[in-house]
Amino acid sequence: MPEAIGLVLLLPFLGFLINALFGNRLSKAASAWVACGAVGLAFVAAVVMALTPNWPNGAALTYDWTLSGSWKISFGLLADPLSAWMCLIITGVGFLIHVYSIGYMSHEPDFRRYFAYLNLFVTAMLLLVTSDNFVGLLIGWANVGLASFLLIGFYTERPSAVAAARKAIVINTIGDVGLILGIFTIITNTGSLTYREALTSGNIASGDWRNWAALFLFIACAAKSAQIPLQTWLPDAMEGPTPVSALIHAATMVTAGVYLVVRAHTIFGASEWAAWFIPIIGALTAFYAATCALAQTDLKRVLAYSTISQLGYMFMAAGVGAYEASMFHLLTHAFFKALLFLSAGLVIHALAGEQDMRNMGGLRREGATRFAAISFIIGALAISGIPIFSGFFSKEAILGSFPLLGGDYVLNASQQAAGVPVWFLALIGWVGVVTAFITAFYMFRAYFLTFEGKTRFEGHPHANPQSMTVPVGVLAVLTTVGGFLAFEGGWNTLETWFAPIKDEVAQNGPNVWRSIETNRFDVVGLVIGVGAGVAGIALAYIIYMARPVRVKSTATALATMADSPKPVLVENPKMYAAKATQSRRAAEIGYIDRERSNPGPGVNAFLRSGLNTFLLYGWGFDLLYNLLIVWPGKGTASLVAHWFDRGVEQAVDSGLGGSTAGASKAARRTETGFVRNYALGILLGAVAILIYVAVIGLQR
Amino acid sequence: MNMADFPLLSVLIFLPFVGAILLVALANVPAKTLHSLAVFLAAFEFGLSLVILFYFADGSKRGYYWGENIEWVRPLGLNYQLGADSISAWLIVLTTFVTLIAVISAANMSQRPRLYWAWLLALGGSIVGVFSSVNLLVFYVFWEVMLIPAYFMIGSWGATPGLRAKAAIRFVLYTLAGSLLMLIAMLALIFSTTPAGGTPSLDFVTIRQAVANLPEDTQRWLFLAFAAAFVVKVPLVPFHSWQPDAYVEAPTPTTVMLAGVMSKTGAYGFLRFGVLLFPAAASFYAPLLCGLALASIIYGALAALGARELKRILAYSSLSHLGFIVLGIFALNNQGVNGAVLQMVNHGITTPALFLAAAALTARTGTNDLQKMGGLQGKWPRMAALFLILSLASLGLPGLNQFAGEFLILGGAFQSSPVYAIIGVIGVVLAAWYMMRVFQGIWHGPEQTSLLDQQAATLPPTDMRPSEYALFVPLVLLIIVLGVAPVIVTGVLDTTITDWLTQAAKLASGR
Repeated sequence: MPEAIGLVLLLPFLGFLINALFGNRLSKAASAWVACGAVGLAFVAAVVMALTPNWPNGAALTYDWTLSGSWKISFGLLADPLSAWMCLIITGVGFLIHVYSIGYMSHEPDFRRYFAYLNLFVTAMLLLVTSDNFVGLLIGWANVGLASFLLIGFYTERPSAVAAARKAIVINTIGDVGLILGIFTIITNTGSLTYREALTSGNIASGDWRNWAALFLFIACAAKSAQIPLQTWLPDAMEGPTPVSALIHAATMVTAGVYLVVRAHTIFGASEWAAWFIPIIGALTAFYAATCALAQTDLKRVLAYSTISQLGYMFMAAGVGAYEASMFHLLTHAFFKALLFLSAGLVIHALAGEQDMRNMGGLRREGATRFAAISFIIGALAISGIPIFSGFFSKEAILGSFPLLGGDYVLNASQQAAGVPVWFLALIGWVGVVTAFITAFYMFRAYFLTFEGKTRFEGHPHANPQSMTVPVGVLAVLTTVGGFLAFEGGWNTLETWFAPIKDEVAQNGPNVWRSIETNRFDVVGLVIGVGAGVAGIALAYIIYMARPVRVKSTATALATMADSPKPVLVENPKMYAAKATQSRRAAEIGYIDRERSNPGPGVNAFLRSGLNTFLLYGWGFDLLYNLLIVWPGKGTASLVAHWFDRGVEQAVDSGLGGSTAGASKAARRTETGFVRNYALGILLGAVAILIYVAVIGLQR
Repeated sequence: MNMADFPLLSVLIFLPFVGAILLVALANVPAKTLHSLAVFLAAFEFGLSLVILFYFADGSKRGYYWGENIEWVRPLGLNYQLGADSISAWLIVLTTFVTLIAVISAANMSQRPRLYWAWLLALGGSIVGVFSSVNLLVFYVFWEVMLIPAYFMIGSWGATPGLRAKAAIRFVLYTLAGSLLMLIAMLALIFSTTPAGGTPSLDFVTIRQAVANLPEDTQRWLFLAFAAAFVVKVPLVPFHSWQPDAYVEAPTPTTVMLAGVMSKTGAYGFLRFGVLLFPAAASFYAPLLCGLALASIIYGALAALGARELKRILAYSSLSHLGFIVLGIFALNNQGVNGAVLQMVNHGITTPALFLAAAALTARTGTNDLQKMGGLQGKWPRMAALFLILSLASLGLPGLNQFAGEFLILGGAFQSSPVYAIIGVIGVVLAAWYMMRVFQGIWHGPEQTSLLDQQAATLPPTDMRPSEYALFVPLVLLIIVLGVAPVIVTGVLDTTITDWLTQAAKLASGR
């Protein structure tokens, strides 16, 4: 029943309103019930919506948003396989994470504010995927950014969280304006912003505008999905509560870019530029983020870089037209990455907020975290592409879209038009294979550092409530069997599911859709893909288990730093770094100093340091952007506000009132006499007019 | 008798002046009663203005209605002429609405409150006059009258005794310099368009035809002289030096009037007496004015990013937003102009709300300095939520009102030249940066209350008061409604703007 789409959107919105307006009158339990109930019922509605034999032709619930000359922009909700697919992921995984949050956030005084924000996020995300036009998409797009901003900065008293939130919203705004420019390109060239009209317009068939539209839209995708060069906000976004990282910064919001590429695939597919830049950026980002994950010490930052890397994977696939594989990986990633984050959350919660892996270790042996160890390892196996786990199927589907060994690979229309050679696609595919190897390695590095080896934490982990463990269990099951959802009859489920999308918009543009079935992979590809994962796990085992490296806890590391004379040791390492020097040291060893807003190292420290720091700080992108944009921007701003503008004012004043020194005297004089002068001025003007009038009159 | 024959525009203009005189004359009545009277008058005025708006609500009326034409000097064609099209209608309603808000918020004025309320009403009335003139001379008269109340309110009620006089003088001299050029241009226009021995006409519709027959050079000079007045009034960089100090020094209700509606008279002037009166010259100078508009957008945003005082930041942010409005007007197409008028309405709601919220905050903290505040969300969560919504509206969050205007403006600019839109969106990104710097600076981070100046605070340190809810809730609702359905405004404007632009194009090419 596709009409249920209205309910899917309405229910979380009501939840948001209730918690936002009346939250202070609700008990914690009532607030949680409202928030979780709203999303849970929305999931039911989404299921009802998806259970339809045939999709409606038009949008539901339409109204005119604005009207100006030839621009008539109306909003509506579109129920089709793509939006239903996304709705199911958002509400399904979203519901589990809402429930998990009840336990995770139970100690939080701002419990209701948290759930209000979370419901706001779900509403905006659902609007993003159900809108039938680009402006509605943009409204959802910007508001998920807002919810993300609010939730990253949820711990408002923490400077690092505040800085991370601002960074996120500024970079996301860059994406928003990219989307706006893309929208203008589309409406000026197709005359409409409704998907059904714009994306099937006859003008799709030709024109340079398609390249510009694809480029502008991709700015938005890169910002939202943290692709190079707009990726720097996502690792910092880990300042938010862990369930938020799982829902927004792993499972749903960051995949919006992939959704947009698939949604607007007639434009992306028709663009010759996009045939080059999407696979390149996807592969580059996948590799980049995987290498960064290697050096991270904060468990959540490992997962953050891993998310960036996996999103790169999805873009690689979408860039060659393998939209089904891309959407499939989006689904399995939502399962296994949410699972990994929530497992990490179990650990962090059990250790009362500790996130640094150097202060963990041996947690599998603790009763309170044994369950987390099992669920984490399931997620790690899935992301490493080990068979039967869901990640295996979707990753192989992506690698299968590339001609790893050359062979009889058929280029699609836009690749032919753009002159993309097969060897180039093979190269991209091999970057994917290498990334798969690194992924398995860093993921098991994280597992071994956190759950195995020597115990490096103090005190006892405390047990997690059922509200947290049950959703993790459900996700673990989904992660394990999720891949089979698309396996029935050899990939046919996905192809049948997405067939309406493929058929509906393939009329005018070049047909670039690459179904999974057409890439049914061979044994060699399978061996390569699985082999990379197994090799990565094996190497991690050798380095971190068989001959364990010595890992120091952060307190020890800070105390024994070469150039440190004798830092005062405080029991809790978070108390560290009240002073700048200590903070700098903390930055050098990658300890996130939440008392200060900027955790990155300075230029000198960066240049002096080795590969480890280079990877730890994401190849120095933050530093580069600070040098190129942030610091010059702030400098110019303060120059304009304090020096230039005031200077002009003073110059004007001295011009008006003689010298600056005499200005106030002059002011006093004019304060009494000026208005008379002014009145005189008006009078003179009036007299001039009257004289003129008289002259004309005399002429008659 | 047709409803539109009633001289409603005159009533709307002169009722506030009558009210102002009453306020001054009733010397023995307690101030509280007089404030109620002022609020009642402003509310009544607002209600009356809605009649005009509803008259245009179906969006089908073309041209001027509610016309008044009283012969003044009969053989000379010098007439007291008023009229409103749907553009004027929206701006008149905006003016009466903002005046109402300003009068309400001026309840606690400590010095000579009666006189202050009188000036507020007078300013509102004269601005309505500006928006309803269809005769150049009448326009000029109201344009100048507008200065007097503003001057007194800044100069005598301003915040800092040493600075307010300077700010007021700078404001008046700047504006006067611009408008004298406009006056000269008007005289020149009269001389050049009146046939020998004929009757001069300053009627907007008639004189448009005459302008089209002038030599191209003359048109351009005249346009520039008119533009001088508007460019100062809006203001645009580099003619803005009066603006930050005037906004900062003026008492908040006056700032609300200045930023909320008086700045729109400049933009309105650009539209009516720039683009529509001199279409050929306007399109010739469009690149220049778009350049100035873009400069204002970027300059204002950068200055807002660098400034420290809350009110000054809002002043610079206003400079940036007005840049968008002028950019839309000189995109010279339907989307740009429609977006510009829509944005005048939106900005006229958001900016007063922001200035008032800033004043409410300053009344509690006793300071205006961003660096002395921090982490206040825990203390006053409701006020933090209000600031959040207003900041988001101001930075153009899609779904709230200012986005709709920016969207159409940038869309219009994009069709004019994609480069304009690309530079314009840099301003959008900077807006997110400076607005969030302000919002987070005040409300987030470690709580910092030791630097607040309790001595200077005029309100007890409590969260939102009932009277403040009464003021802000309607504003927030408007922000949301106009964001969700901007068609309420654009739908009414569409026919009028299409007609005006078609005629302008005809006039520009018809010679």
